[in-house]
Amino acid sequence: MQINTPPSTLVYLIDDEFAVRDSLTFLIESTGQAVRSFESANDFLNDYSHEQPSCLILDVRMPSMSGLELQEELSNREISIPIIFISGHADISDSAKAFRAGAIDFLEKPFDNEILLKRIEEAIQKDIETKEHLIKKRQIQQRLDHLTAREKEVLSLIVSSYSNKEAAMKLNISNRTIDVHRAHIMEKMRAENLAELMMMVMPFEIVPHGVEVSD
Amino acid sequence: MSKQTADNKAIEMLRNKAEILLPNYSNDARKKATKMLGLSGTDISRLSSADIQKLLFEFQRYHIELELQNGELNRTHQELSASRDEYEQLYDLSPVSYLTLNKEGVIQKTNAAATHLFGHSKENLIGKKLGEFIHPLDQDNYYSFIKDSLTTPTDQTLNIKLNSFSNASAYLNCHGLNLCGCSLQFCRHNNTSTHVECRGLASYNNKNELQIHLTISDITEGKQAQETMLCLNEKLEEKIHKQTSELVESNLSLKKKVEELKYSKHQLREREAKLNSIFNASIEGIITIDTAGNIISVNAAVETIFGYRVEDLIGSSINKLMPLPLRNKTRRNLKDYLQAYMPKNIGQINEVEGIRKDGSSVPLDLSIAKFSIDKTTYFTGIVRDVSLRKHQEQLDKEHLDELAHVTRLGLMGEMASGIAHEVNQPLTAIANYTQACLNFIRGENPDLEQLDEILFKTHQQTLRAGQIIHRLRDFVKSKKIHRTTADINTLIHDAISLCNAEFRPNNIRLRLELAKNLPAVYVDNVQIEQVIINLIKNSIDALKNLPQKTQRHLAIQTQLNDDNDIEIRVKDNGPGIDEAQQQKILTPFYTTKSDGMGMGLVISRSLVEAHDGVLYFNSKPENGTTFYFTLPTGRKFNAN
Repeated sequence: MQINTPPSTLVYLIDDEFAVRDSLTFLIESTGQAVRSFESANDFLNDYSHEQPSCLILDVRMPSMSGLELQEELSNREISIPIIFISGHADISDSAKAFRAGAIDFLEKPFDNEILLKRIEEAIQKDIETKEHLIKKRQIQQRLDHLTAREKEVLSLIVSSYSNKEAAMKLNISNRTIDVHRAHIMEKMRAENLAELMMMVMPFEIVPHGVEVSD
Repeated sequence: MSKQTADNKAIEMLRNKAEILLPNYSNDARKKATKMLGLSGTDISRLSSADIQKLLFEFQRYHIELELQNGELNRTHQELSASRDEYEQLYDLSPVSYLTLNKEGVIQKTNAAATHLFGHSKENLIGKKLGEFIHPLDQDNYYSFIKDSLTTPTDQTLNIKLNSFSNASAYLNCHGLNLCGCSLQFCRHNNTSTHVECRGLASYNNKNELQIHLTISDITEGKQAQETMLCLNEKLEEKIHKQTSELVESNLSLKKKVEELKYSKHQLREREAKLNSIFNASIEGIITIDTAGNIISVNAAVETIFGYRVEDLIGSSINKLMPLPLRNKTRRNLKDYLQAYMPKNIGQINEVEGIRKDGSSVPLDLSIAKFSIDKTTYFTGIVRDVSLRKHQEQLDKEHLDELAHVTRLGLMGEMASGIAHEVNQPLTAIANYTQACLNFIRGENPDLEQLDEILFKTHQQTLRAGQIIHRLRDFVKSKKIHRTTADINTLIHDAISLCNAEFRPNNIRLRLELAKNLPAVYVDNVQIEQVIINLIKNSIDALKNLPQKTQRHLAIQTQLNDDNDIEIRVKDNGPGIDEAQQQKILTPFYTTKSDGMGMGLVISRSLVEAHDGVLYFNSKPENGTTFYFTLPTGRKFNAN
């Protein structure tokens, strides 16, 4: 069963147990997927690079830093690598925690290899998407950075469903001035229409500065 | 003294007879001669020559007769003067004093003894009145004595005192003084008067004068002796009186003592009766033996315990009831053995084996006491049939074993998830390895060397999983106690293999400091593993209470201690046990854990004690806890 993943993808594997680490490495490598394995979370953190699309197979119970702790740490560091948890025993609270924090899956040892491999595939795909999304987001951020302060104010009112007229009143400027700002924003953000603009800025949670958004 | 008197009499009589005989004899001779002359009456001249011749013949015959008579007379005279000399000598030298008085009482004649007695020379005495020498108090007696002597033809006797003479003071020791402190006021000891006994007999001398012959005996000694005797008698009486009162007194106290003795005898009897009833009512057998091991007495309980009758045992060897570890059971050996064994074991309780009449053995607790009567030593053994207790102990042990098993199951329950995890690891690995193999085989040009490697690893993981399952099954299933010689370090490794899953996830660093070349222990492996796991688990639970980032240490150490026991320590750097808890953690059902039974430590301690070891701990709050337990080594068991 070959997975048509570009060879540049990478599976990270953390398990303190050598046999598990070793056997999983063989298994995943047998599908042609590159693997990097680590004995502890800290070793992984020191080595991780976000360049390649990747996923993380993570043992829940480990000394020093457990799988769940690492998940939290990654979140703190804003590292969004898809995580497939593997655990020696099913612990509902552990798995609930893991899922809430965005785990791809929580597999109990010994697991069905096909499911694992399938999850790896999904996870890597997800990471690819995430990474693309991230690139897009970074572009939008760059565009946003180019907006003037006044343009950002106008933008926040527009995405908050203010009409031109309302915005003009709110900012105590003329309608025409609003129109000029809006045209500049659309151009700088490379948005075709308002809907596209709104989609772009939604993840950024642009809140109007210095104004009360109210009816 | 009486002999002297008799001698005197004899001499006197002899003298008197001689004096009477001599004149008679001379008168007779003269008369005869005159008569003979008268008879002839004729003139010689007228006579015929024949007649003259006849006469001459007759004269001659007379002459011869006369000469014969004269010779006889001379001989008699000589005899007489010899006898007289002898008499004089006897008279003078006689130890008895002789005095001859005239009727006025004037001393006429005296002998040497008398001069000595009176202390005056013969010249001074003769012519003096005897009364002058007599003590004034005895004068009256003396005069009536003289009178009586003169008038009565029989012997008169008089006891009188003479005036004292310095040279006559026959000193007499008063023996009474030596008897005791003499308290008599008028002790005769100092009285120096001479006491004499006078015997007087009056007779007429040749001058026809009345004389009194006195024999005087010094009876001072007798008198004084008599007086001393009197004195002594008085003293004796006094003494007897005193002693009598003493005797009465001691008699009284004796009577009292007799009463007391009667009472104590009664008490003794009562006590004996009590003791006897105790002796025979006691459920403990009481056996008294002599030093040679012969049974002297047994009580009723001995019959019950051993099944023998008392008669069957008295005089038998103790060996009959309690076989002694002797190869050669001669009396001599038995005695030597007892002599060595008994003193060592007095006051102790020993477990020994007794043999009943039916040959079955009975476990006994034996304590020995020693006592001596008339320098003969006896030993009393008090034996208690402990077969019931032994049975109870056996039951308790079985109960403990069962409880241990139950708690072991509980312990495994608590550890199940960890153990499952421990088994899951190799299973996971196996699943992965085999899937990898499949994937490789299905690919193009499978790398056989790689497959070989993977399959070998798969095999190892299978064994590993199998081992854990095996150990788990042993641990849970084993209910039957089976002691074997074991290496404590191996047991520790086995125990750890069942708790391995607990260390890494809980961030516990396990350190093993196991002494090498330890002697073997003789234990039930599962029970000792249970103890070790229990202690490890307690430490893990304690360490879990430490803040997440603190490094948690758990150390397991083994070493041989000074008593040749193996000491196992389980040491953690957890929060420690506060003092209030320290008091309670070894009591049943006390637990600080939400899911604990509170039996782990209790069972652990019981198991260690069942192995003749001890379990204890040492804990300082904030400084961790160390649990210790000891196990006797194989060496010790062999020695026993």
